[in-house]
Formats: sequence, structure tokens, C-alpha cells
Amino acid sequence: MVASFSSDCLRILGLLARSRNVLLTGAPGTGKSKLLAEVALAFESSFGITLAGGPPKLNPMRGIPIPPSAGSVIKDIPAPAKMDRKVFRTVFHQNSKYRDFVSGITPAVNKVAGAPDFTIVKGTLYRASEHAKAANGAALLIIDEINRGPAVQVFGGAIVAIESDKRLAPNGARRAETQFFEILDPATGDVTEYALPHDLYILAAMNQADASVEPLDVAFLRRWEPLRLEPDEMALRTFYGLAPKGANPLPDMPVNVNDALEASVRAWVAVNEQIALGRGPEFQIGHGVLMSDVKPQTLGLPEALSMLCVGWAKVRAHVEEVFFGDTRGIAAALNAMDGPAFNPFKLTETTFADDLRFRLEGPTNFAEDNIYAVLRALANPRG
Amino acid sequence: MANGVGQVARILYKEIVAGDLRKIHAESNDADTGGGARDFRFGSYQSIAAIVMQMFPNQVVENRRRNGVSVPTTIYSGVFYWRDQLGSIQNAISYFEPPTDARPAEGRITRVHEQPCLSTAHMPIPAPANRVFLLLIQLLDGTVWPYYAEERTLRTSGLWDPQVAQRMLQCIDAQRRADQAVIGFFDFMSGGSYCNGR
Repeated sequence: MVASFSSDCLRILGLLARSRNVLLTGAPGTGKSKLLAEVALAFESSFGITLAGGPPKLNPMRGIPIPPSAGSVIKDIPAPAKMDRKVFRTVFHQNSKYRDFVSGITPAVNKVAGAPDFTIVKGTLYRASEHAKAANGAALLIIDEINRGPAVQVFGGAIVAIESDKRLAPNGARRAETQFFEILDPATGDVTEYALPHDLYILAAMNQADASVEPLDVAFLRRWEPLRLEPDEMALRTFYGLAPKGANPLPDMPVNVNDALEASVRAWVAVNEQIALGRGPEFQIGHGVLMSDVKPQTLGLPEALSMLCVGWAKVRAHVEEVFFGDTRGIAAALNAMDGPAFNPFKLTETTFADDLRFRLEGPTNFAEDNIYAVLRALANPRG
Repeated sequence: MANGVGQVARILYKEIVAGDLRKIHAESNDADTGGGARDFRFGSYQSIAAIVMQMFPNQVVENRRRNGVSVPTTIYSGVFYWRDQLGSIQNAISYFEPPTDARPAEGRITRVHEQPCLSTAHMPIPAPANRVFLLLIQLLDGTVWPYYAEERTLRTSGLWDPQVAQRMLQCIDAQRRADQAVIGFFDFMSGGSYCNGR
């Protein structure tokens, strides 16, 4: 398999090789899920992972006729010599249980007559661990949305054993530092001591700033090597096929698709700046929210504007969620406080029971005939 | 290398089995190993024929005895390249004969004992846990460079280009009959590949 992987992907592989456990964080839309999928593919094929180096080359002066080329990555990847590589995936949620992740008792469903009424679950961590304990095995366990569920409870006693220096030796032998914890052995039903293997790698992802997430304690977090993804303007410009930002102001009306896309990029950057100021950088919205499987630059202007409406409806919803109950915050993010006169959004003041109240007036929904004006207003320099 | 680049275009490989060793050592002339000819035999000929014809691009017609009768037979020829002990590039014409009626699935590199690059002096000793493979490596410039490769080196990360090691190991580890030698190819240009295991 010849494949080339992004620098973020290769970086995560390197972190996994070094630390065994990597925690990927980032605002929504920064590409975490896409990166998880890419790392999964790279891990499973990483015995043959290469940068885009092309076909291998013959070097007839050395003992091995086709050694790794300079572009090949053969170190800093997890378990480079293991051939039986498998990825296990799970998503944590409010109902995630230790039983589902490690092991535990569950009612037997569709059991044959006379069989036990209960069975012992082989949880995701257990199955990944057992695979990695095989002679030629290596396992990558991907946990998405790790902070949507009670992560510390779900890991249970494994929380200490996941640390890289608390694992079994590469040959499976017990080391002085190996941390054992008790589990219900799915094979025997007995409580037994268990440790995690050297070539089990855990990659988790989470969005720190969101509703319905649970805080993770420091003791849990310090067992992970962190990697943070940021909103990436160049990624969005590349997707749109735009050059780096120039000094030209946006025209009053879009002449072509590129004008609309340029307005979209500038508006998104400006909104994120306001969110970072008002709520913190972790509350920003990623570039992915404005990307899809259709390249807008291939469309006509009306279709491209229509497509922008879809993405910007999500951005607007995000802003309203992030500043929920804070009308002035929403107005600031949408540049409706000291913004240009052509902004369709206006912050108005009124009174209720002799108290000052703020109200944001503007289009209920984005449409082809108002989206460009909105974007141009959002991108307009703030006062 | 003619173009100095050395980019690998395709690789045809086969496991060296006991019969091959007996033949290259001129120790066998039994029917099981195909008589007294000093050949390296490639099973699954129909599956590898297209690659063989790229590596042995020239055709000559020679008479061969088939069922006791002399019949004109198309023989493929090409040129093997190697470096001698001083590092100088050497070459020699090599021949590949298509299957016979008696062995319709086998093609053969003939006269292997006349090829210095295939000498047993270069061949590691095969062992059950360390099989040895003959690799015919064709470069973008069309030149073909034969090499022997040990299984243990393929399984050692960092020795071989992983694109080569991974493909070969996948084929080596594939399921096949116990008495079947590993044979396969992969073509970096077309993306095509073949492995006689599943």
C-alpha cells in the first residue's frame, strides 16, 4: 500500500510511538474526526507507510538492494515491525460503562437452553489489549468524544495501567514497573490481575468547549500526550482554491464566486477572533464547518452563495450557542455593535420593566440575496 | 543503471525451494524437479506471463522437443544486470522458456548456472524460518537486476523499503498449499500485483 499522510497524522503516529496515549483536542470543525480516520488508516498500513516519495529505488551497492528511501518513514511509528495491526473504535457517551470498555457481567441474550443466564462482556479496551498481546499484534484504540462520558469511571483500574511506563515489556513479560489491575476474566469468570501490553496505543479525541461534556481531572489528563488542533485559515483557503489574503477590500457586490468565497474566509476569521475574545479560543468554530465534499469554486455564483448559506447557518448557530443569553456577545461576534451600516444585523435597545434590554434584529435565515452582505459586514474591520 | 535514477518499476519474486537448490547445484535430474535442466521454475505462469514478457522482452524461436517431436517454440530473452566485486556493472543475456506440455503451469529461467548473478555464492541458505527468495527487480529504464532476499531481513523493520517488504510479507504470509512455493509480483507503475496465496 502506497500512501501519503498529512503532517498532523504523522505527528500523531510519532506521539503514539513515544507515549502510547494521545489526546487530540480542538474546536468543532477543526478536523479531529477526519484525522482520527486518517490515523487509523495509517496505523493499519504503517508497516508500509511512506511520504509521497514515489516508487522505491534500487541501491545495488548495499547488502539490501532496496533499502528505505529518504522519504520513507520507518521510525516514529507505533510498532513498526508488527504486521497484524488492527484498529478498535468506540465513542464515549453519557451511558458508557466500565463493563462495555473493560469487562463485566451482562445478561445472556439468545442463549441456548441450559446455558448460563449471564455472560461476561469483552470490552473494547480488553479486546484491543488481547489483540496487541498476540505475537505479531499491535492495536490502536480510538476513543472519540472521550469527555462525553464518565471517562474516569469507564477506565476504572485501567487508568493507571495505560501509562506507557506501566505496560508489559515488548515481549509480554512483566516488568518491575508494570501496573496490574483487577478485571473479571472473560475466559474464566474469575477476578484476575491484568496488565496492558506494550503495543496497545490509545488515541482519544474531545472538544473541550461544548455542552454535555464532562470535565476530566488532571490525574487523568496527565496520562495523555496532548495535541491541539486549531482553526486553520489556510486549510479553508486551500479548499476554496483561494490565494493568501490580499489587501484588496471586498467589493460591494460579488462579481464572481471567488469574491463570495473570499468574504466567507474573512468573515470566518473575524468571527473566530470575536469568539476567542469573548469566550476563549477553545470556543472557536473550525474551518471544517464551511467545507463539504463539493468544491464551491466549481459552482456558479448563485449555487455557491446557496452553499455558503448552509455552512454559515451552522456558524451562526454556534455563535448563538456559545453566547447563549448574551445578546451583546452575539451582536459583537456578528459585528452588529459598531459595524458597518450595511450589516443586515442590528443591535437595538429597548426597555422591559424599566430595565435596559438588547435585541438583535436581522435576517431569520441566510439566503442567496443576503448572505454576501452578511459576510462582508462580518469581515469588515471592527470599531 | 542506465539512467542513474534506479527507480523500481516492478518486482517478480519466487521462493527458492529445495528443488531449486538441487538444480542449481546440478544435483538432480529426477522428474520431480523437471529433469536435468538447470532451471528456476516459476509456477502460476499464466498469472505472471505479462510481467515475464516485460522483463524478457525479446523473442527467439528455437526448436524444442515436445512429446518426442521437435517443434518451434518461442523463447523469451532479456538481460540481467549486476555489479561485480569491484562494483562494475556486468550484464548477461538470460532466457525464459514458456511452459511445456508436461508442465503447463510452469515457466523457467533457463541455464541459471551460467548466470554469475544467480550464483549460489550469493544465495543465503534457506531455512524453515528464514526462507530465501529470488527477486527480479526491473527498473524504470527496463534493466533487470536479480537478487536473493532472506525472509528475516524482510521482517526486520528498517532494512527494506517498507513498500517492498510489506507487499512481499503479505504474500509470504498468505495461505497456500504446504508444497507450493511463494510466487508473486507487484508493479509500481500499473499498480498491478499477483500472489499465489490467498
